[in-house]
Amino acid sequence: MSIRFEGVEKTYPVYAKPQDRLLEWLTGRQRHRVHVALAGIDFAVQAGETFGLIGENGAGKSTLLKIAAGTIRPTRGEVAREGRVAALLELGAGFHPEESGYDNIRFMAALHGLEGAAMEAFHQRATAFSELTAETLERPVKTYSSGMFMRLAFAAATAIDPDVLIVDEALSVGDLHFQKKSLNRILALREQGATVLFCSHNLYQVRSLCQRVAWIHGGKIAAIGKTEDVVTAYEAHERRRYAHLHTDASAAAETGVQPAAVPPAHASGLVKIMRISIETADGINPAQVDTFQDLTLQIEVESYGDAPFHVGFAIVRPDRDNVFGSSTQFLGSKPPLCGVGPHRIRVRFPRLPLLSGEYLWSVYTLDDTGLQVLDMAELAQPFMVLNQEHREFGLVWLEHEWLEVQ
Amino acid sequence: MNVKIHDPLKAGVSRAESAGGAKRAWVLWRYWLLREFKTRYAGSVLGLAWAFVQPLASLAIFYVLFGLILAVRVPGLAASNGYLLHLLAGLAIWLPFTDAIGRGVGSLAAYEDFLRKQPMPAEILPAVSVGGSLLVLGIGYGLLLVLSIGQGVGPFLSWAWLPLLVLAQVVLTFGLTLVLSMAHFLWRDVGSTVAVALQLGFYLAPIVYPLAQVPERFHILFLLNPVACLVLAVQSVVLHMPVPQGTGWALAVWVVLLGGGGWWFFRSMKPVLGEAL
Repeated sequence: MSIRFEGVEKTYPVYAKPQDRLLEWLTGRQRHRVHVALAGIDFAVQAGETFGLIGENGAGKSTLLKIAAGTIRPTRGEVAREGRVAALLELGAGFHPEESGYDNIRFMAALHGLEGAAMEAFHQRATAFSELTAETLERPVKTYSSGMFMRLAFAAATAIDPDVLIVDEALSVGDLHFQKKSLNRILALREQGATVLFCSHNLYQVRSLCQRVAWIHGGKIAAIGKTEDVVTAYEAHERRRYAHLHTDASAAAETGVQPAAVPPAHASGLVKIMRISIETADGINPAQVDTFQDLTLQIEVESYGDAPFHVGFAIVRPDRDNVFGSSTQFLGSKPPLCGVGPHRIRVRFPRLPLLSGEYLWSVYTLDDTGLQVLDMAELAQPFMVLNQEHREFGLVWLEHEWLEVQ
Repeated sequence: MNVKIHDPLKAGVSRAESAGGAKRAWVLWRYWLLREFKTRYAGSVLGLAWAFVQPLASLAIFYVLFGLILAVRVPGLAASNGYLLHLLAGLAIWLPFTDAIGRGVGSLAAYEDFLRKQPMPAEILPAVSVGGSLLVLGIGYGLLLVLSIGQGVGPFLSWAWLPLLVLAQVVLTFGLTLVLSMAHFLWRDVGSTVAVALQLGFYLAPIVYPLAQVPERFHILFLLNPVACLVLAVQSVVLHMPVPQGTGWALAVWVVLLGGGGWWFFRSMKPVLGEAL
């Protein structure tokens, strides 16, 4: 029911040419350089805990997850796992395209060593969760759409009722309905007392899911502890890093030393979305709004550099269709936002013309050209709109007049 | 910090896992084998019948070519159609061997991505290739015994050795598949080399020609070929043909060498499998 890392170290031998490995094996003389992916990893994920891994790309998070899952072995140290482990590193990796969905589920069961009644129970759970029809499940998976494939893969991956769940950021797949269902499945497993180890770049998700977090930096644990402390420390580090890159860029530009060598991504500062909320006249951040209610969207961002930037937003339906979007860029007369530190943007809809349905927000921060996305929070903050007082139907209220009714 | 250094073979595996590991591997192997058979013939009209057609076709081709047209005779085999039995004894070894090796070589490379993403015992993959050849093996041996009795050769008491010979063949093939699949994973040249080596190997074993047609002083060299050792052992045990002295011992050495060595090589190189390079 837990995972314990004891002095885990992972190094890879890197060979310049394939024949070097052969020569080394034959002669016994070292012909590779050693790449240290992880060193001194020493912590335990307690039973029932949800533990997050954060860090930059290439810091070693994925390697650590693979070691936890057991697909690679640590060079030194030991990993102790207790309980049934399900690893969601990549969904559907072992599926055979020629085989039916049904047979692929059975294959996943066999992968966990299940047979007979246990395999049937596994199969039933996976089938129920996948929401695929019996007719679909009898077709070879090569005929599936990518969404159907992912549903089947996720269902088959979590159907063993794992005690320990190892999740790589693979969950942003499938349609929104299924994404939510997948997340709920993970939450339900957590409720049942399953231990969850997961890695994500979505700090919002990490904050809301994890009890403890480890920040991996350069193959080592930079910080470990309560979620808020570690995430805050990581954010501060990111802020410094971007500020540093930015000053380097402007310094280079001023002295005229190879300004072209600085990629534009670094020249424009990072602007992070910190908080999105909506308020109505009678309540803050309500999950339910009435048609024609007075609604205000509030976006809080923090700029780590002093480059000018824009903020854009969109109201989105769960199927990702944009209902309405706008950006500070469209204000025209006003110059872009500017300056290090927090900024707040408020947009008011005095009479929200949406009719009944579920909607979400997507918020973007963009550079001054409005082309490069600096940060985004897509499909966040779902809210329901209820149209109780009017009988008109559809997506939005369109201004109209009945000119003639005879 | 408490840093322990472990034997790399055991590092990172808890005891509880290895206990249930064997059962899990067995379940998985059987299921994978079933899938292998189902998908191998998926979309074909004849389906599983191909498993019979292929060996019979090989047998027919060689028999017509060497037995009827070139009229090769097998001295020391008292049967009206001795060449057919001789050929069958060789093919009963060769066809499953080449089938297992041919499929097994690429097995790890084909599942490279899978091995990185899904924890599972990698030995399963070469084991499935060998398992997939057992059907051809059974057909070959079955046909050999039936035709032998039909031709008045046997049954002999020495046939009791057959289970041991089959076991030797399986161990030997599995060991070689382990080595070659891992080697191919590390160096992709291996696959192409094996394809050529298999073609050559067929003619370096006394399958289409009887050993008696080879000058006596070269006979001892055949013991350096593990497949030839197997073929000779079967010829001796089933058909009571004369074979070079020490064939049995040479075979035993090959089984230990390839079986044990293959296992050792595979285990020592296994950590490479999950690693993206």
